[in-house]
Amino acid sequence: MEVVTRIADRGRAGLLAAAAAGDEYAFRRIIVEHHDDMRRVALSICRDRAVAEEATQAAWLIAWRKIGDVRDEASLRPWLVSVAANEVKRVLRTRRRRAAVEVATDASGEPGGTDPGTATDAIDLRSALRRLDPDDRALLAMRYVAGFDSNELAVALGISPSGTRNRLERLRKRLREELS
Amino acid sequence: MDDMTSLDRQIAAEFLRDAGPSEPVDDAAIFAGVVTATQSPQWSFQPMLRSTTFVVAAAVVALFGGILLVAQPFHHVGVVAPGAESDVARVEASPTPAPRDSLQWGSKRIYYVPPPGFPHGSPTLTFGIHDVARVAREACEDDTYVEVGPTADDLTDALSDLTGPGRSGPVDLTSGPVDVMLSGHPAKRFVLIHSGWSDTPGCPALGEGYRQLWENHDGSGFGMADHGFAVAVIADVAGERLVFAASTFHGPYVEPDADDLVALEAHVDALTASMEIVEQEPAGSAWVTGSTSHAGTRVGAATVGTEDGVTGTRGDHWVDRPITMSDPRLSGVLSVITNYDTHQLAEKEWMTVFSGTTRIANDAGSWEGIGSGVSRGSYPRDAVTETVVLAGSGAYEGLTAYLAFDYDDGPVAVRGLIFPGEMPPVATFE
Repeated sequence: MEVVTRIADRGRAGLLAAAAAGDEYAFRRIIVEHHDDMRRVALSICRDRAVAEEATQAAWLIAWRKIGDVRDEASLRPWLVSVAANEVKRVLRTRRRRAAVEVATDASGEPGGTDPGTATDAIDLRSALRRLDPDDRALLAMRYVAGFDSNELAVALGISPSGTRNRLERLRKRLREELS
Repeated sequence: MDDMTSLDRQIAAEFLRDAGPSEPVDDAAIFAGVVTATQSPQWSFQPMLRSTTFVVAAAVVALFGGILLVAQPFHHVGVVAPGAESDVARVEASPTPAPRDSLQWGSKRIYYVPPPGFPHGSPTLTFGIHDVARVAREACEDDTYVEVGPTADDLTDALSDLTGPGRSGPVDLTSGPVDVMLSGHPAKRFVLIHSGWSDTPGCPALGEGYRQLWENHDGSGFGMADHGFAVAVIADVAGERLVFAASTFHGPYVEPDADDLVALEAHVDALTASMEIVEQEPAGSAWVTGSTSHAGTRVGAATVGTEDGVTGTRGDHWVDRPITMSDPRLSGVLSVITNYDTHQLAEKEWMTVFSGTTRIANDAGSWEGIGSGVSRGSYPRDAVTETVVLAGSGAYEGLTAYLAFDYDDGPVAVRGLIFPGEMPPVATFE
């Protein structure tokens, strides 16, 4: 962490420019700031730690090569998270695993289990969420894990803010219908 | 974030639970992985696509939009993320051709010479074999597929129908079909280019970057991301259709260049020329390991009843669960139908006993038999152990598989044995 603190006072705008110019310290500072978000979003998409870590590492390779394409500091976080989300989808496809559509009827992580007669709603929601395709899980992960607003989602998805709101609303509607 | 509804809060809770807690970041190790990958050009074959010249590609991009593919092969080898383990093979760049490698295709084995390192250091030059079931129909809409027939011509026609100025979307074929030969069999080669969703008027809802171009019978598929490109080869092997697709993946927002396309074409040509298809004799005994998951579709509504503190569930029927094993004879699609009884031991403590029928099917044959198991908690949940004995049919006639499944809330570890004949007779007390 020592090398990272050396560039802490460069300012955030300078950080992006420095990383784009190949500055290792600046890039590592960006890793420190964003890796955990990327990994957690990836993990919530695939629910497989090995896949999430592989995808996040692959995302950093892409970031190293392409960070110069990021227009401004505000776009950096959504861009990095979207790269990680795309990588996890790629790894899932590569591994021929469909973790994102897994249907687990486990209702909770509580020791001793859950009363099978009372946990139906929670089971249904979890099952419905796990049946979603990776694209939809990525959207929800960026929304609820990364906490992106519609502007950040727009950067991450490459569509308009209103387009992201429409997609989210359609998804919520579908889930409501499925749970009703 | 705007106002959260009750559903929002529930979704958020589920996703945050899956995301797990924050963890310390080892930036030095991560950066070292990046540097290592950057300095060690590798190539890998994953399921993706194709080629032609950049002139043609550029023309198509200008016409329709752009490309990038991602896919799920039936079998594949490949180079993947730096510093990470994967089920795909890693091939270091080498000035001399790598030795022959092989992969399974039904009852046949395909031998090939992997190309040397990808000239631009792409981490993801990939290829895979596909058993195509359905082809995307409307490029601007999700989940619009048409069934494709079983022959090479059927798929050639279906892919040809995706291209041209009359298409509504950006999935285009830039060249082909071109006649080639694969292990002495006639084949067609296509180059595919994805012009980029975000650049395509009329596809505003597909800005997320990629969609599947086709789906395979085992539920996998072949996808295409923004600005990707690929080569697909479709061969007629004595009436059987062999499909493989190769592509490069540079990551989102990264457009391929002319050299990438030319290099991919050269690799695919070399790969195609080196392929040899060999019919295999049925193998005998083998230890097997692998995994499946809770994925799939529930097609049988379980009926539930409670009596004397025991909750009985009958007819819990799941299909289309992918299973991947070290021996391809046991890889394919898993179906299971289960009856189970959940016994309440204490206020919040249950255990479950269950029995059921399991089937594993693939192109060459299938396995079916009964099994039983136990779990702590409400089945299926944590600490589940199940054993099954499966009898082979089709290409596996005369073989038996004994498998143990270790379920948890996630991937399911499977291990066991394939052997000729049947289980020994049951011993009994006099």
